[in-house]
Amino acid sequence: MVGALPLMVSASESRGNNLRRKLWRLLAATPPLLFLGVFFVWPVFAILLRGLRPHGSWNFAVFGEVFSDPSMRRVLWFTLWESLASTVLCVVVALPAAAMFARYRFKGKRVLWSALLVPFVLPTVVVAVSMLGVIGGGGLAGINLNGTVWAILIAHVFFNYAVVVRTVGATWSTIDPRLEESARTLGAPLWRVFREITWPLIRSSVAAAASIVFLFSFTSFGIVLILGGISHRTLEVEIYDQTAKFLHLDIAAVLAIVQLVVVVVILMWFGRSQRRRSVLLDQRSASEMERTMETSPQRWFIRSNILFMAVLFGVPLGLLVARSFSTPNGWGFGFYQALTDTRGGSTSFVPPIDAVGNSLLFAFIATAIALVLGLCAAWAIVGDGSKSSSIFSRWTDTALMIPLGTSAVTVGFGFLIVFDEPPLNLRSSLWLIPIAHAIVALPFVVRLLVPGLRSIDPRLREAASTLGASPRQVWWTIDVPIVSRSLAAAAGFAFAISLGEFGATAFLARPDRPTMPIAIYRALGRPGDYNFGQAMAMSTILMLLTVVVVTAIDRFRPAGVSEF
Amino acid sequence: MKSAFLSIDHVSVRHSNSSAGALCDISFDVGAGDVIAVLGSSGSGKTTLLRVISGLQTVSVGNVVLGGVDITETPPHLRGIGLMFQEHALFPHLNVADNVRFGLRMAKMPKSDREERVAEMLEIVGLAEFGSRDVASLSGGERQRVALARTIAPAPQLLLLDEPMGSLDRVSRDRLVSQLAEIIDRLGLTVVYVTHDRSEAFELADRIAVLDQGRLVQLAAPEILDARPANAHVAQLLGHR
Repeated sequence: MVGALPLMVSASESRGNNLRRKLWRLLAATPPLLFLGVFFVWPVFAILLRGLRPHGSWNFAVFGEVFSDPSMRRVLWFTLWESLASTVLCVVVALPAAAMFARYRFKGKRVLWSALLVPFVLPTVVVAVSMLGVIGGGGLAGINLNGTVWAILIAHVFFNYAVVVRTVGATWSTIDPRLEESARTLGAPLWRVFREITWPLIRSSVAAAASIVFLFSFTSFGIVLILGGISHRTLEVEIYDQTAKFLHLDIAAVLAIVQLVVVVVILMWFGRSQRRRSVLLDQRSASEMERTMETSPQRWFIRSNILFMAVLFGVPLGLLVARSFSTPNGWGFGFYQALTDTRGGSTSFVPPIDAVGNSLLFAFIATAIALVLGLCAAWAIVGDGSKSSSIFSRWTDTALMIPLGTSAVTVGFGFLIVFDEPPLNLRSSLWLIPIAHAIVALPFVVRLLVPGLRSIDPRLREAASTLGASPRQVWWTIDVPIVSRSLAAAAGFAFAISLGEFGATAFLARPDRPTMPIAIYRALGRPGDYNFGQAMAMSTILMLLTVVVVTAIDRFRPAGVSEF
Repeated sequence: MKSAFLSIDHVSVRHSNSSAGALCDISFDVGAGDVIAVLGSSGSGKTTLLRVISGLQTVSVGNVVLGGVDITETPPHLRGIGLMFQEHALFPHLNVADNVRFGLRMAKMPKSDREERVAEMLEIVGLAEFGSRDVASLSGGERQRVALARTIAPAPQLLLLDEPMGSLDRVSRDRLVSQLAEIIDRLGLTVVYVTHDRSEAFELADRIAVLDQGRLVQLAAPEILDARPANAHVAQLLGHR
């Protein structure tokens, strides 16, 4: 009788509880949305105004100027087709690996699945520098692709391979292989099985992955800046140059608007493909879907996939490390030692090694901001399953995703415009960088936390409370342990993103407080092997830091929800 | 005994990492129009046997001969053998009629014949009105019948059924077993039927093969099996005490 008492709540009391819960959720959504408003919407809105009202009155002539300028049109066209080419290439190259992970059981599968994350979170500057080592002049096999579109495409595939493999692979692994086998026994040759059965079932996840790859390629900055040379320029690089080099803020604003429009269109498409997926597939455990490799074609399929990954990732990164130790005086730590002084060939104000401390400090602050806001947002998004809460959560969700697609350069540029005058003058403040990093990391954090929170079966809480746990005990014994795993993974991700962020930081970093990617870029900009070696050494340190963080991530990742 | 239509000749399948589902030197013949039930507990290699016959599983040793032709190396889509899985494996992105139509499209059957055949098949399994239904909206028994219609539509030379009643409740199972017996009889199908359920085997089969740990322990008519089980394991499977 005593045990039944807590369940006998009067109707009015429970309605009051509901209302209070809704209020709490609304309250929880406020800080992240406010943060987004001040540090994302406002700066971006300021860019809009700068483009449309350059001198206090509405002026659309700048648009005409930009669109009629052949060099601008070339930049626009190049950005579009290069992103499209990167996307198609990446999907084509990564689909076999997605199939491999989804269908076969093999040694080292789990480790490889985790390791794939490394190139994805690797700082773009590191990716670009390690690519330079392979396909730059004097690189492997004597080919020099530096400054060609191929260098950009290969780097984009390097960077985005994991997005396709992990997104599509996760969906593919939930498709019962017996569907394909049934089609075989019904007379379908392999290519028709793929076209008629597999493809329709993975199509929406391919679309989702492709739209992400397109966005990342479309707004890619570090890679294009370093590998594109003078002839290959994208919108993102052009925005940076127009602002930082030529001080044409109005032109930069127009370009940023054009970019935003494309991004929003793609995001809307992405949202649609997301809503359509997961309608058809019943979830099963992945192990039920796996097949061991038996025939030699299957063995060759897996071997060639792994070989491809080894070449794509191993060669550039291996060469990067090797070159960082290969000084003019033979193998050694020469370049690493050079990072600690300001003499020699480098002319920076501070020893480059200071950047390591700066980066770590900014990453800690950015991670803390992103986690607190992300947790509030995720809790509000998960809601209580009622209709009003699901509409509310969809809007919050979408709003928080927009920074994912917006270029970091736009964010950095917007900060520059907005925060150097009252009411908020943060121009010389150290806070701007971690805040910008938190904006970039927030969508990922929310993406990781929401499934973690959703995965808590309400019956667990009910079971705990019928066993006598008070609401607070339920929170501590059920919610916290389950969510803490996602929280740890999200923290790792935010940290890695902050470590590698380049686009926004390029605008915001003060000369005396560079982050590691900025220090690498500066070293690359100076002539001579000595500086190039320092860039290699710094890149190696940054890569190692990132690898450590990412290895920690997958240890905590909740099972079954992993895409990013 | 009739001349062999399907011959399993000294077939062995070894898996690299586990013994479950392996086959060890299996040989038996099936005559045209015969219904053979394969009885065994889980992991005994029943499903592997069907996968070998359909070509989804390559053999380590041995041959499979169908209608006098050695099909051991023939890929599954050229064998003309129908296989129905335990969970039915209906294509979730196609409706009921499209599921049934799939094999006919692969066989490039002319459109008018094809539509006629689809209607006929749905009629046979008692789902004539269900053509445009989404497969997700079907009950377990309906799914099972759609799967059967899909499997027999291309007129396979041989029908393989892998625990077709596995996911059904007792009542619909009893009804469907007798319906299935009638359909097999009407179409004169040659059938290999895998089950762990003694009563299904006895109701449908001309002969029963008992598998234990990948070995063929006994192959005999139901009455003989019942009267003289080869060993204690067979007796236990048959429910003897």
